[in-house]
Amino acid sequence: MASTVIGAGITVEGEIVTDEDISIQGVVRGKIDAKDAVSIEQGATVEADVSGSEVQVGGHLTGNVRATDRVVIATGARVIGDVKSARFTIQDGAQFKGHVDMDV
Amino acid sequence: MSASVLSESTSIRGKIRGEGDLEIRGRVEGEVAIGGELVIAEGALMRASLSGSRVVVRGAVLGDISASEAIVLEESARVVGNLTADRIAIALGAQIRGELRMDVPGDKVEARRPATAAAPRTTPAAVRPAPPPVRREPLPPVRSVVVTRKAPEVVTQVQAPPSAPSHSSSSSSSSGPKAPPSPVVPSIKKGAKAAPKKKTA
Repeated sequence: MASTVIGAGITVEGEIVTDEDISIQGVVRGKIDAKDAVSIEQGATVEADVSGSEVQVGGHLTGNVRATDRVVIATGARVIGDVKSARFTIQDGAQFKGHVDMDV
Repeated sequence: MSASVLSESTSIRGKIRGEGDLEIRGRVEGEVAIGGELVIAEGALMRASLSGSRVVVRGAVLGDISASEAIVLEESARVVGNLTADRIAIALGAQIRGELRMDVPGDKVEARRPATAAAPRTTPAAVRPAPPPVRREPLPPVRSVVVTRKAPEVVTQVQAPPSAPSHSSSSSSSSGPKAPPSPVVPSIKKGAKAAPKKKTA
């Protein structure tokens, strides 16, 4: 389990900064800045710029994503925003709209 | 649905709202208002107003806290802010600076409680000062009484042997008279007794 969990039913409006991994099941509006993995779970709604080592999206995300390792947009997820990461996966059934920058 | 947790290294600037429980071990600047139990863990640092059904504090909070059920300040809690809840518990060792407000049924009861609570502290202090104003002139004696009790002995003893100051003068100057008197006393008594004995003899 992630060290920081924003559970379903919890809404955060503002800036979240963490050195560890974070799991979001609720709602976040603002900014997420993690040094470790960021997981936006199914059912979560995020309207924020997200940065982390690894960003997994299963829910709804509106905002730009930046990852030092990789970005995964899972089945059922919906992402609107630009993605900047060396590795980028969009699984079958995921929705995505935005630019991709893989540092090529 | 897993419980919400903000880890030690997590800091949030803004508002946290919603239903469910939340445990905060990191830092929050802003406002936390949730429907469930809010736990501020030891080591957490809050610059925020907090509210929940139940708020348990083990960390540091700068801001007002309100709860629909209860506020519990545990041993390691440090709070600067006002507490508002029907039930408030403050453990031995918890530190708080602020106003506590419990919704006691009826304003009269609420009015009496602080009055009675404040009264015993104020009255003894007020009563004691009260007589002095009447005896304001005696007041200095009152202080001096304490001094004079010691002083007369010192004075009489000092007066009896003028040589005593000379002994004490070598050891100390102004502050000497208070401390030295006791050591001086025996020598004085000896001298005083010796003199009369010699005289009588």
